[in-house]
Amino acid sequence: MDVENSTSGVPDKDPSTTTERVWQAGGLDPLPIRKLPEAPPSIHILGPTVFLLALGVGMGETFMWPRLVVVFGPDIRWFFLIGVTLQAVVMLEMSRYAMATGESIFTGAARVFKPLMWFFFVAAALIYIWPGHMSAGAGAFENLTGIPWQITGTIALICVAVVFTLARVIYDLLENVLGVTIGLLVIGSAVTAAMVGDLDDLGATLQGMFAFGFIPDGMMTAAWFPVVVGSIAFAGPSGMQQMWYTLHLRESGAAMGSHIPKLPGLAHAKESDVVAMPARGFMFDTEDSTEMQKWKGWRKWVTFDAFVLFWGVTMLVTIAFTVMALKAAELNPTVQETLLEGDRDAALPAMADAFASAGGEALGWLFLGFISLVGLNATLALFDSFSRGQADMVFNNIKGAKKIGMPRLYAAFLWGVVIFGIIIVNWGPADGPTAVLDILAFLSTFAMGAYCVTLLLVNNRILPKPIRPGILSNVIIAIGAFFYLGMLFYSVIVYGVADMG
Amino acid sequence: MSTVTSSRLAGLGELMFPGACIGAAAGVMAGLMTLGAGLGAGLAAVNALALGIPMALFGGGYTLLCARGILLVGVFAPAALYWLIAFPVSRIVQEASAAVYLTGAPGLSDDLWAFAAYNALLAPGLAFGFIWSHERFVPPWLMRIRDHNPLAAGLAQAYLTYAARAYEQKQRKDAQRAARKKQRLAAGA
Repeated sequence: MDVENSTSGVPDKDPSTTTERVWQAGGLDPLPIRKLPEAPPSIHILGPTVFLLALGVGMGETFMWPRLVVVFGPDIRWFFLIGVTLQAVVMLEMSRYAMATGESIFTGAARVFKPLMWFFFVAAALIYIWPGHMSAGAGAFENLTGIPWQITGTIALICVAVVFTLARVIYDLLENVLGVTIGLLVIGSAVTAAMVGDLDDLGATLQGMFAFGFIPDGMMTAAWFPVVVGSIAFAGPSGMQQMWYTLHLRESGAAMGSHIPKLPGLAHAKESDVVAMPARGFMFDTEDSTEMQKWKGWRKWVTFDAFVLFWGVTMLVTIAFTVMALKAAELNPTVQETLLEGDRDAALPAMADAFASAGGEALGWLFLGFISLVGLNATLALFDSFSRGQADMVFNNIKGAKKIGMPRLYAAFLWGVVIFGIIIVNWGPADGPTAVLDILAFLSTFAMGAYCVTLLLVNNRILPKPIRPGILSNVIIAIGAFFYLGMLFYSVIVYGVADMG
Repeated sequence: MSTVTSSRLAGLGELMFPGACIGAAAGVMAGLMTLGAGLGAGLAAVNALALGIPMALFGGGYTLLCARGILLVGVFAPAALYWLIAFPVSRIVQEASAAVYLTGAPGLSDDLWAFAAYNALLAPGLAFGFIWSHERFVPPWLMRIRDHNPLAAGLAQAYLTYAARAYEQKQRKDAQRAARKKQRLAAGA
């Protein structure tokens, strides 16, 4: 691979001025060729998947799917199997670009078409600046302890910002914290399911995952069709969380990410950190068979991440919650009616009440306890991810931003979203103004369809041919795009509902 | 008890400590759940201890078996098999103890075999959470104590050997694959 023959449609600006070997990738600066590091053994426990798990094992697994199981029975879970498997493939394809270049998928989008990247920048700001994502966790904590959620929320927001500012290396700190909480979540899920359920519940849960083609009565209605579609979309990471995973993958030093320095907290950032952050990523020599062998090793490593760690942990947690839901429905048949008739906004306390009335207060308490833990995980990962993503886009695409440096940009976005969050938590609508709620909900699902299209474009146009995705991966991602966008528009046009929550 | 025996026991305890803590966390969760449910501090304590103690012993036992080389470090299948027995046993102890506390006689909420089978089916999930946490907590702990604890030094070495072996295995596979490719290319030419 060299300057002369390494084009993807855009010629070198001035090939005579450089002897460095580069890969021409779309409309931005070319990617210099560097060595790909050796891949670690594919079987591993530690790694960036904790971020995706922290973000992904959220409301879908702990609330939306148990509710669907209570309403429609365990056979509805085959949709969940499809949703999570689709997300595992998305994760693999997101990692392809990030591992090959050390760049985020946002920069990949900018290489294809810059406005595409700015769309994600604006969408992220609109969707994630509202602290509503933490209201469920803090609200559940309020139900548990009686402490008003505004107080918990404000303290949590300040703690998050202070900790991330003081951390020596933010990624290492977060990986450790999230690793512990996810370990607790998995052990806790197993203990909970053991204390609450029985063999019949577990059998029904597992059987339901393979009831392919089951469409329950009442699903194709304005009340439930958007909820089912939203639950499939939110099985695993939703919104832009998969895109942020590319930033964590790079930060973990995976593949070509090893050439990008780690981001320190603002308190530990030095001038050298500002200078060290390169303006673009790197590429390895895809015509060198040794490098390609290493690449295959990295692909195996991330495949283990996607299908064992991500898919496996998500399944384990959701099975435990489904067992709880089945027990609730079995012990108290009125739960189903309550949820069918109930207001969707009041569904979280209704679920807790349902669990409590079905299995004693223990079930309701357990449910709220887990929602709190999930909320804590999601809040930590989300604030870091949002700030990292926005800082990455500004750093690489706005003139003068490189002088400010990544640590300061990250801190600016972090403190900005925290201060805004504190104001909104105490004096404003946590999910955003009522008038634009539907737009935000629409954007969240739309972003998922948009990132599937972006993935197809970036991986098939920007990457060198030997490391582009195969036909099967492309077809699955295309189906994902069709599903997310198609179902969203179908829901809006036929039922007039954009909120999939 | 001689000084040698007591120091050996102390060393054993030190080695088993992180694994035991992870196991005991399950008991703490059971206790907190019971307490939060308003079922009384007494039952909460019974549930915490009756699940926590066996789980802590099994958790520490897992680390010990790894140190003895009976279980392979960092591998899921042996951990899953281990908890397939250990988790149902711990749960039976917990349920029976709770029944003694509440009714004065031991008992289970279900038929013994159905109860054991159900908990055994959940055991791989627990094993996953356990090994996930074990791989995070144990190696740094071993590095801290290995200078004065020979058992810990052995296990620390096992972790290092495991990492080296996994790396070598990978290198060997890569080399074999490269050789096969070379052969195929030569045959093609």
